[in-house]
Amino acid sequence: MIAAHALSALETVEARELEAHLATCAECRAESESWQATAASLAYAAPSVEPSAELRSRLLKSIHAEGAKPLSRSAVKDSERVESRAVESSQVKSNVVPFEKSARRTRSAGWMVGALAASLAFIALAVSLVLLWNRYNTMQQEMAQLTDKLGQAQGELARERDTLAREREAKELISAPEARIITLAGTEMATRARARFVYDRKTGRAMLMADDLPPAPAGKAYQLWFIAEGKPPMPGHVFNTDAAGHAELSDQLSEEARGATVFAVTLEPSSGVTAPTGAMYLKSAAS
Amino acid sequence: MHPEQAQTTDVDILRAIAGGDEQALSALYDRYRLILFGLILRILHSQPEAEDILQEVFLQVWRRASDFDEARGRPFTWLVTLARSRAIDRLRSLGSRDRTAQEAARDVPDSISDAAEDAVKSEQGEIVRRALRELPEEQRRTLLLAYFEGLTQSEISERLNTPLGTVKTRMRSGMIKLRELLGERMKDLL
Repeated sequence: MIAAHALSALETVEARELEAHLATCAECRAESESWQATAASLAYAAPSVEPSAELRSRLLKSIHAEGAKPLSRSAVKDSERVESRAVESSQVKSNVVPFEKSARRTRSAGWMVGALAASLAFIALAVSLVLLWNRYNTMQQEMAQLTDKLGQAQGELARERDTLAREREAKELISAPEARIITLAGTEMATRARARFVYDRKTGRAMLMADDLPPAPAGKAYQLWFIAEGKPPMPGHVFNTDAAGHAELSDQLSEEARGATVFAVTLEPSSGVTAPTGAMYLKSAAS
Repeated sequence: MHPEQAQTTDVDILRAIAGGDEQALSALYDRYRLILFGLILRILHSQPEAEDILQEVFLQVWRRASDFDEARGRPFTWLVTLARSRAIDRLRSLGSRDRTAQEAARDVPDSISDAAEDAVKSEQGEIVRRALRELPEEQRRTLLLAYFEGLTQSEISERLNTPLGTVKTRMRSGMIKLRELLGERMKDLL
């Protein structure tokens, strides 16, 4: 195991354990040093090669630049300082260069550059995440607003379509050969109210268009009635006005209701009733 | 060129370097640049990277010469170990970037350089190469993969598709045999 350590071939955990032991056992330390020498001889298995001449002058220039105090810590770069400290602490002044640490753990200038690059990359990532998050939030708000607008537009469109459909329906109704148009006038409950009721005696299709009806109180709604002579009033649909007091209602009259002579509107519970209970708001003149 | 030919010992040189003697550093450089550059180049397979590491190694020697403890081993061992460690650090940090080049170079990683190919022949080199040739092929391969490619035992086991236990045994046997073969002769040389 100590021989393998000299080749730095142990796994990190094994190497760490061995180093811990070497720190306390002089005998094994001596053995380790002897294996280091054997391992170092393997350097001779590589052919000697002459480095470029410039390297020598470059090197001498840089050591000269570092000054005559090679161990002056202040002259040593931070990375080197970290390195020296780590070496000292783990080695207690030994010549054994700790391969495991330098090769697999962390320490060279290369590593420092790597760590710095990794830190920068991490910061960049964090910043991008924050930016993305903000952008995401903004976009979500924009999306929500757009969805709102889309909803409104769809509502308007639906209303337009509704109106168009009603207009077409009204037009068809009015132009039907057997169409009847009846005018309803407001009673004393709503003197300004007025309405027009159109129905096709043949098909029973009917429409009511009312104006200036006061909005129905909560829980109440207007209901249409068809009254034939000698019969109880027949219930029609329940409806409400818009804020302007306008209301439009489509209905389908039974054959019986088509024979009605009087058409009226009363205020009833909003679920509608089968026989009128509330006050009359609109009424046609008997025809 | 070689320590045994030098009048000043390596230890003296390191002491002088620790004292801030720039001349001593250039003397040490002249003494070991060939073997160290050969080693680093063999690991990195790139002239510029290898020169970069060689410069780093000597800068580190300049800064840390006072850390050297002669009771704990020879300057040569210290220098070589430092150079190899730096080179393998770089090899790992280059990582996949230069993998293709490394893969290409890997075709011959376990070969022992022929003396004839050496830019500079050396007696020590001859002794080591002869010793390596006497090792069984698989032991030699294991040692060289660990030494020049910085592979751990389990990485070698994967690379050679050999059980981990076998790799451990080969490495241990190879190291013991190598020490025996180098034996007394190297003691004089290193």
